[in-house]
Amino acid sequence: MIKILIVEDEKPISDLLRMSLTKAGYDCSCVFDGLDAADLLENERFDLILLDIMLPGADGFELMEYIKPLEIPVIFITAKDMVEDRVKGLKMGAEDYIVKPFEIIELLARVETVLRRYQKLDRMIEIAGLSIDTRSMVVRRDGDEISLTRKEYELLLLFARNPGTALYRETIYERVWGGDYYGDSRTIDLHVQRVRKKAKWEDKLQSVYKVGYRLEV
Amino acid sequence: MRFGTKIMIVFTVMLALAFGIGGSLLIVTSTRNSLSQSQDAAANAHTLILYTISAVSSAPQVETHIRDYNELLNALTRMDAQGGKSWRSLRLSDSDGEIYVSRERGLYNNNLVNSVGSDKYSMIAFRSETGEYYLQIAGQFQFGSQLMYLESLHDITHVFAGRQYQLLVFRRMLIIVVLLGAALSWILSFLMTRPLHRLSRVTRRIASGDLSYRADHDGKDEIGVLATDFNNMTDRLEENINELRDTMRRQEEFMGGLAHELKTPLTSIIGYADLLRGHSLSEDDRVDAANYIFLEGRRLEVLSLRLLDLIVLKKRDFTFLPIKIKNIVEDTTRLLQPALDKREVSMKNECDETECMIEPDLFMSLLVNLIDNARKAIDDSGAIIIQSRTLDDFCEIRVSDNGRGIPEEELTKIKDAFYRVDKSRSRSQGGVGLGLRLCDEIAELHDGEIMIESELGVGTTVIVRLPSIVAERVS
Repeated sequence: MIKILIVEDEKPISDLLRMSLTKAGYDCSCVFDGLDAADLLENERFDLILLDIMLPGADGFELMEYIKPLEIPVIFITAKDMVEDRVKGLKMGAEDYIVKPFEIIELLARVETVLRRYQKLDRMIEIAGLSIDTRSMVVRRDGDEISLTRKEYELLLLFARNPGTALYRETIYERVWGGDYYGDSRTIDLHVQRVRKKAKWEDKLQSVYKVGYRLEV
Repeated sequence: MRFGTKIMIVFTVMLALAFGIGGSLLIVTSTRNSLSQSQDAAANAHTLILYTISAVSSAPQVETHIRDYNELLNALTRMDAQGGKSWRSLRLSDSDGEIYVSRERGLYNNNLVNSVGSDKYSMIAFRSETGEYYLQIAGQFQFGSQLMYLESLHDITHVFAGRQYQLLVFRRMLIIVVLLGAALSWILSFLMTRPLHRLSRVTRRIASGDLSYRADHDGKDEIGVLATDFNNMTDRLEENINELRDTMRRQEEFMGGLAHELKTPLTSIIGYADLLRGHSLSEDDRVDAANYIFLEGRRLEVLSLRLLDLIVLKKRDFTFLPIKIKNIVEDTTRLLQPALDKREVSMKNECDETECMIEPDLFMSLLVNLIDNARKAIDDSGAIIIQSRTLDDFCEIRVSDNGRGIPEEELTKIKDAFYRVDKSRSRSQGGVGLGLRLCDEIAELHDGEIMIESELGVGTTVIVRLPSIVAERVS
């Protein structure tokens, strides 16, 4: 299991991160203080660190100096969205930068991207009778390859990565097509229909009234 | 034109004028002197000849009736030969005309004899066509019954040649003096204007932003005074600019803090709402999420109320009334009593009869904040004591608690907006980190200040100093 360290002094946000990441299948540890984080890093090995910048004890930038030699990828989480702060964070070796307020799905996507970059995610996802090779982008059912278009593949992967989660149409649109969603659901519905048919997910990929779709497992 | 150049030109022109006028006067005087000397010498020579000839003519062997001038002419010729440089030529004539002339006949002026008197000679100076200067002197004497005229011609070219030479020397000297004067005045003006140049350099440097730069002002002259004034002005300017920068920095920090304080609860609210709508959560998680949304929403509410308080303060049109601190503390305590009872915190009002000029609503809000802070600092049970007293030029209100106290290194930051010594505890007590900032602003509105004394584990005392009524009436 992938271990993520959450360094965030605001209890509500720390809990939020822990809840969302645990649901997504990660193993989370939370610390609320920069110095505690350093202590914990001495004894335990993590795959990813979510790091707040304004922290009691030692702030995020100071802690970054300590983390660097450990070669653990870091995503900064902060309320400061000044360009200088972002540049500073990224220059110090952070993998990504998330500005509060953020949506959970965005956080998960970024976490995934970073983990994939470090090749810490499993190459194969086995879900609902499908096996998805995320590196070669090949989806098989019982050994037979299912041919998918690029968008269909991305849509399928989005559901596969968020099982049991009701995905809103706007979220789906933003993640797969990119850009803002203006209420045109035809594109999404059409693609979902195609994926359902091709993946034989007719009973798994359920529509949620007024929301969007959810993959039941 | 540069000031130095102006000084140089004025100085040089004045020098040239003074030297020119002085020198010209000197030359004129000296020429006149030497001319009059030459005239005297010429007159003396003339008189000598006249005496000698008169002596000859009064000798007994000379028959005065006979127009025999031989003796006279002989004497004249002899004298002329001896005369050497004293005269150039002699002429003898009577009323009918010329009798004898030794040389240079053409130079003589024939009318001069007419102005000669019996015991005085007359003279005329002129310039010949060849450029030489002559002095012609005429005198008369009695030769028998005959009135005779003797004229002598003196070369005075040397007087004028001397003048010419003096003029030449003077001109050269004038050029040298003017050049020297110009050089000297240039150096002088350079020295005089150097402090000005330095000052203007300093001005430029300050204008380009280096406010810490200052002019030297060692001199006690006008420029030294100017430099001192200039430095004073720059000091004032620097002070103002630093004040402005400080205000800007505080404002920026405030905005940064505000953004953080707004975004943190917003992140929680959006995040938990997202969790609730998109996931099937366990019952416990669902309650937690809803609770967080509620609490963070409350936090935003408190924050917006506090911000409104601060905005109201900026309006600054309040009426200040003389009010007894004791009474207003009493009112505030009554207001807070229920909250205090819950925590087993006792309140003691130990105020004396001090009166201050205060805006009652604002001051009450200040007291509420201070008492609230004190209450939050007390863990289980404790006491809050409020005292007031009048000192020489201000009055003091002290709010003391026997709570946790504040670590020394935090004391300087404690009045900053959104700063909390213990964030998580403050959060659980519903604080947003604006209370003391508000108090500080209120105290400032009253021309007062807030000081904090604290010892870890012993307690904290917040001291509010306001100008006393007496001091205000005097001023």
